[in-house]
Amino acid sequence: MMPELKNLEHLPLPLNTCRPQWLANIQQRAKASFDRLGFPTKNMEEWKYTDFSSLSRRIFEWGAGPAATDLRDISFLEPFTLLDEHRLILWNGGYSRVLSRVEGLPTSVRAGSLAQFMEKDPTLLEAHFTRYADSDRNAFCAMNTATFRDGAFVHIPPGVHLHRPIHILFISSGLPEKTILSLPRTLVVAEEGSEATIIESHIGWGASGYLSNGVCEIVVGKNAQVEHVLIIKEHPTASHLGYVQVFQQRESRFRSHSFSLDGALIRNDFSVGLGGENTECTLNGLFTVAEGQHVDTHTFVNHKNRAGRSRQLFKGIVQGQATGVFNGAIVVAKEALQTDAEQSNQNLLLSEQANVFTKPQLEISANDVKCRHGSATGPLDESSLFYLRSRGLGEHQANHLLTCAFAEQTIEGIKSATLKSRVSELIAERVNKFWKGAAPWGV
Amino acid sequence: MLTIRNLHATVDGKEIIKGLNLEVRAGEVHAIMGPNGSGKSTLAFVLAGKPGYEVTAGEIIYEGKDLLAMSPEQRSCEGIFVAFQYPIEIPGVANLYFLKAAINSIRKYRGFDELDAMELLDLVRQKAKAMNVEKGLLERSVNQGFSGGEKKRNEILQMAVLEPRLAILDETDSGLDIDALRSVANGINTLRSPNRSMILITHYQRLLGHVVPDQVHVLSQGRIIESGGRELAEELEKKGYAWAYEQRDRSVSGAAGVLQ
Repeated sequence: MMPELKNLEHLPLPLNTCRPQWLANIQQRAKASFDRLGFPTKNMEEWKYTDFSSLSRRIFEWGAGPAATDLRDISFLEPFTLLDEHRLILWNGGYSRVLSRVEGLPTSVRAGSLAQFMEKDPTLLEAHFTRYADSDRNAFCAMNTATFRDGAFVHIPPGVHLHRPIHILFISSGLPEKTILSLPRTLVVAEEGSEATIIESHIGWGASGYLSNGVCEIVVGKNAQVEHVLIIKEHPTASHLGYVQVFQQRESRFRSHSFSLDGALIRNDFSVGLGGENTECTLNGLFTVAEGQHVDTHTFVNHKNRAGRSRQLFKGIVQGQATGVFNGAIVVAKEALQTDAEQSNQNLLLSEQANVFTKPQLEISANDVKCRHGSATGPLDESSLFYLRSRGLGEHQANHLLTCAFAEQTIEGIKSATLKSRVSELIAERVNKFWKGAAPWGV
Repeated sequence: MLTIRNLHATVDGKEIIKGLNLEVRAGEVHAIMGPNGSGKSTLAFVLAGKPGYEVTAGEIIYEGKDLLAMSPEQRSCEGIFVAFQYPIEIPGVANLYFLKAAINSIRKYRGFDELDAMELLDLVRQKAKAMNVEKGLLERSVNQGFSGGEKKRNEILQMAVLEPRLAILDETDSGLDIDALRSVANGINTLRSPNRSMILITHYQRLLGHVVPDQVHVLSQGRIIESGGRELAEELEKKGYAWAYEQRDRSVSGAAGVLQ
C-alpha cells in the first residue's frame, strides 16, 4: 500500500521494502533536501517568471496504472509511436508490462522497469542512479528522487549500436476532481562506444487533474553517441516539470531535440555536463505556447574539460496572451580550454499580447575559447506572407505554412526519417490550432 | 481582360501612380517601360494586392470583375500571376511543397480535385524541364540561396505550373546574363497563348528583342505618357527616356495651344 500523499510540503517516503540501503539513504537525503528547499518562489532568480507555488497547496493523490478500459483502446498513442521502435510504457509513473514491447532488443541490452532492475541488478544502477541529477539544489528533482516509485531504465553495453530507437512513453492520466502526482523517472546509460536513439514522450490522457514531475539522467560513455528526442504533449490544462541531466564522457556525442507541444504550465530544464575531453553536444528545441499557457525552458551547458563543442538552438512560438521563457546558461571552467560554444534563441510572436522573456547567461573562466549567443523575437514576416498569398494560398494556410517553416530547423538533424516526419506532423497539428479561426480566403 | 481607369495609388502616404489608364485584351502582350521611380513596380504590387499599396482613386476591372475588391489569394485563384522583381526567400518551405500548396489551393477554388503527390511531381518535373529549371531547385527551400537567375527562372516555373490568364512580369529580365535572359524569354514565349495576356514591366529594351510585344507604353511619374507598337521600344532605346518626355511636353503644349 502506498503511503498517503496529501500536501506536497510534507512528502511521505514510499514504503518500498525491497529498496537497497544505498537507495534508502539517497531518498532520505532527497526528502531532507526538499523539506529544506521548499517550493520555489518567484523571488528566486531561477524561477523569476514561472510560478508553481499554487501547486504547494493542492491535495495530491498517487496515480493508478491503466484501467481495463484504457487498455482496450490505446489508439491515442498512435500519433506518437513508430512501427520500428522498442517501446517502454509507463502509466502515471508505473511500468506497464502489458503495453511495453522490448522483445526485439539485443539480449545484452537492458530496458524496462527501474523498480524491477533495482531488485534484480542493484549494483549496475548504484554506479549511476541519482549521481547526476541535482537533488541538493533543485527542489522538484529532490521531490522526484524522494518519492518516485518506478521509472524506465535503459542500459546499452559497450560497443552496441542500436538500429531501432527505444521509445519511453510516460502517460499521465488525471482525475476530474483530484490532482494526481505522476513522477516519471528515467536512467539511460550508454557505455563506451555504443550508439542509441532514445525517444521520451510525455503524454496526457483523460482528465487534466495531474502534475507530472519528471527527472531523466543520461550517461554518455566514452566515444558513445546518444540521440535524445523529447516530446511533451500533456493535457492542455495540466502542469509538467521536466529535468534532463546529461553527463558526457570523453569523445562522446549527445544530440537532443525537444518539443514542448502542449501543457498549461511547463518548466523544462536541460543540463549537460561536458565532463570529458573532446565532447560534442547539441541541444535543439521548440516550445509552443497557446493562449493562457506558460512554458519556461532553462538550459545549462557546463563545459568542464578541454575542446568541448556545444550548439544550442531553441525556438519559441507564442500565441494569444501566452508567455514563453528561455534562459540559456553556458559555463566554461578554467580547464575547459578551446571550448567552442554557441547558443541561439528565436521566438515567433503570433499576437501583440504574446510575451517572451529571453536571457543568455555566460560564465567564462578559461582563455582561448569561442562563445557566441544571439536572440531574436518578432512576428511572421509580412513579405513572405504576401508572397505565399500571391500564389493562391489562403491567409490561414500561409500563416500555418510559415509557422511550421519557422519550426523546421529544430527537427533537422533527427536521424530517423520516420521519426522526423512524425514530429513534423505533431508540430503541424499544434500550429493548425493556433491559426484556427482565421478566414480561409482572407475576407 | 484588364481595364485600368484613372488609377491613383499611394505608398506610405506618397502618391506614386497618378491617373494611369491601360487596356489589355486577351492574348495581348504589353510592355510597360519607364525609368526608375516612374511607378512600374508599384503598378505590379497594386495588381497583386500587396498590403500597404493603397488605391485612392480609379478602378481596375479584370474579366468583368472588380479586382480591387479581391484579396491577393483570390486574385491568384482568379488567374492573375505577378512574377516579382525580388522573389522572397522562404527558409523551411521546400519549393516543391510550395508549388503543391499553391496549385491545389487554386484548383480547389476553381472546383477541381486536388492533385496527389505523384500527379504533382509529374507536372512540376515536366514544366521544370521545359523552363530549364534544374531538378535540384525543387527540393530546396523556396528561393533560399538561389542565384539571381535561378530566382527569376523559379518565378517563370511557378507561372508555368499555375497557368495564369494574366501574367505581370516585373523586371524579370533585370540582372540576367545573356544565356539566362534567353532561357527566361523562351519560357515566356512558350506560355504565350491566345487566352493568356501578359504585361512585361521592364527598364530596358533587351527582353523585347526576345519577346515581341503587341503594344509598348512609356510610364513616367505615375502615368502612361506614350503608347505605340514595338518600334516605340526601339526608339526609346536609341533616344532615351528624355525623348519621351519631350514628346509628352510637345503634346501637352500642343493641347494647351488648342485651348488658347
